[in-house]
Amino acid sequence: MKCLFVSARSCAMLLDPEGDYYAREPRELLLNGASIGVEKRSVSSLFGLWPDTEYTLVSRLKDGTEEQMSFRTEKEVCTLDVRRFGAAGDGEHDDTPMLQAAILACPEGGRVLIPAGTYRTGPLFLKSHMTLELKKGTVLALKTEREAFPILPGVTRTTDEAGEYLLGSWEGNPLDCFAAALTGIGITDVRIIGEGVIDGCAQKGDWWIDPKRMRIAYRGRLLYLRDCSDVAVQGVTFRNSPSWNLHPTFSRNLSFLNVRVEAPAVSPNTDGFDPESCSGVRVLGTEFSVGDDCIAIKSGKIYMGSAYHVPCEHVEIAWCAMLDGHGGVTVGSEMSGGVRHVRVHHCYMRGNDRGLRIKTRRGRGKYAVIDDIRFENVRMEGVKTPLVVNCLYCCDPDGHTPYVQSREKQPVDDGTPTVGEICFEKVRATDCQGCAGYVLGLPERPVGHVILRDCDFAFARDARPMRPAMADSAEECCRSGLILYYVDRATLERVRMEGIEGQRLTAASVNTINDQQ
Amino acid sequence: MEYVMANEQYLKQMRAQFDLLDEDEQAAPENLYLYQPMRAEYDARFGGRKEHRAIATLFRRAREKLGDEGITDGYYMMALADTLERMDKQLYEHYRALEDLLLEAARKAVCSPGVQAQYALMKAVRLNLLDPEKYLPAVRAAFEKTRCTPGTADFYRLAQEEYRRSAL
Repeated sequence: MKCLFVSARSCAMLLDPEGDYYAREPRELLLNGASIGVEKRSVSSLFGLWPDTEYTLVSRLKDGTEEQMSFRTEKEVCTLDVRRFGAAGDGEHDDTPMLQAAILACPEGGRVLIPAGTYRTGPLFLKSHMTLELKKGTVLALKTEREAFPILPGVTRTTDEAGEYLLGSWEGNPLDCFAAALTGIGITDVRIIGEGVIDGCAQKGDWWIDPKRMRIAYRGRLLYLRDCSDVAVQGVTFRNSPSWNLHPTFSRNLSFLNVRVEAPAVSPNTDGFDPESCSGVRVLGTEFSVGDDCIAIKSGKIYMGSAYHVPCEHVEIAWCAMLDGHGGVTVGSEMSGGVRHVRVHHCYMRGNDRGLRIKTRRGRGKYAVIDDIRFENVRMEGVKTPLVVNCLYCCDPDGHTPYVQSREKQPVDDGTPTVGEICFEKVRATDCQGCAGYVLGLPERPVGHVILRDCDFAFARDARPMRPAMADSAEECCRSGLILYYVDRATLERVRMEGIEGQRLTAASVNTINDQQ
Repeated sequence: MEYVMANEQYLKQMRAQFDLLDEDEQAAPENLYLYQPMRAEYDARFGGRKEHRAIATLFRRAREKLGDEGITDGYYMMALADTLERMDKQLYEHYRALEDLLLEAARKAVCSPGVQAQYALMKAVRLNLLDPEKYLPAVRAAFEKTRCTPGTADFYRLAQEEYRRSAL
């Protein structure tokens, strides 16, 4: 048992390091000797604690085995209840000014409390050194009229015209976008906690109608951070976002614990969590069920990559559930600043099109380097193709041109991306459909090293053919083994496949294969 | 040429005429102004945005041919402003390339802009490409001193409309 996070009013605990989203067995929790219920998940959160107080938590299994640990909650200066600022919480009244006033008035080390109720609101802007708590039964219901949303300008030139100030972002470019339900710009030391809900209400407005057309500005998110540090989000449910849900950019030391992200399966671009050019990110015990990729790790398109080349790195994703969604964990396709040192472990994925999905293409740039991406102890059920690396991803207007799609060796230039080492270890996948893995590198720059170690892939009896990767030349496959094109090294150790048709391994233009069955 | 939403047929015809020019002719400022805005509009609305890279490359080539002293050429500046108005910003690297060229030209032209540059600068301010506080006072003052002549009537009319809009 380990304490993952403590605030003045809450804590998050790791109960079963060897479970995935769910612990291997449920356990009773006792807080200061009193039972507080049975927890089935590996990561658990407690709310309703008192500041600056010592607590003892005991975790008790059915057989009586116990673990115990103590922790002390942080201090708190005071609590500002938004109702005292005039917020109605009746779902009708526009509570935006009242909620914003409470945030701006909050002293360092203070807490803004939103008690149970439905608060109709426009976008809110956070400030540093505060806690925002949404109690159980609280819903922040975002307005749907886009005219009520401030715009974050993409680029503002500095006064001396020598530089630029970036605020808004859309799909990897610095473009005007609407502010998020919660926006943080340059903030530090912030906690957003509680069992409440932030509801984008996108299904009630027109955000999801004709989504590719930009009207006034690009669609906002539910949480948008720009150049922030030491921000923790715990327990809150985010749902029905106009576009991506959680989008931190150029930020550091971020934690997301026991968060829940939901969007209908058919909602457009509702990625769950898109860290972009961030460093030091933990996503623990979080559940995703969305209409696009559950998690997509990014670092901008070519302009951002060339001008800033800030990678997204040191990302840990653990004890999470990725349910439905296109990709469980995706890297790219906007990755022009690079993505590296990503560890996904002890997660559960169900029903995704792809488990680990790496997508890039020519034109992402020389700083577009993906390296050290590791999946360990991941359980997949009904994930159609567990591993896909696609360096010919057919995105953007020129996505289907020969420049992007050609399987002929092209000159290595400033547009050529790099994929280094990818490792799958102790991955168990059942009810697969397409193939165990599909890796399509670039002939002029093959994928560096693909490692599969102690993995099991079992295919569904009623598996249907599918294209494993969104590349023009990607052939349909069904119940196929591992397919590798343009890879420098492949290492397979104790990789078992059940129910495949055809070869266990199909490899073309792979320099070295080490296959130890 | 005022910005109107031209129909697809017209844009296609302009595109076809452009293809008949050789490389040097394509990069000439007058031809940039004549063809690139329409080319950008056609590409953004009907062409799948496959030519934005080529448009940016052409303007870079034109810049190279003009040299440092030639970047205040009126047709060149008008071509930049009108093309930027029609490009798809989501191809940001190409959009930004033109924006940077326009900024470079604006810094040089603002001291004594001719009527074509006046139009381009006021339009660029309206499109949020230039700082209004820095550029608008000087350009408006320059326009107020400009006389309409038979040879510049079309450009004067365009600049006049931007002048009117900049006062709002």
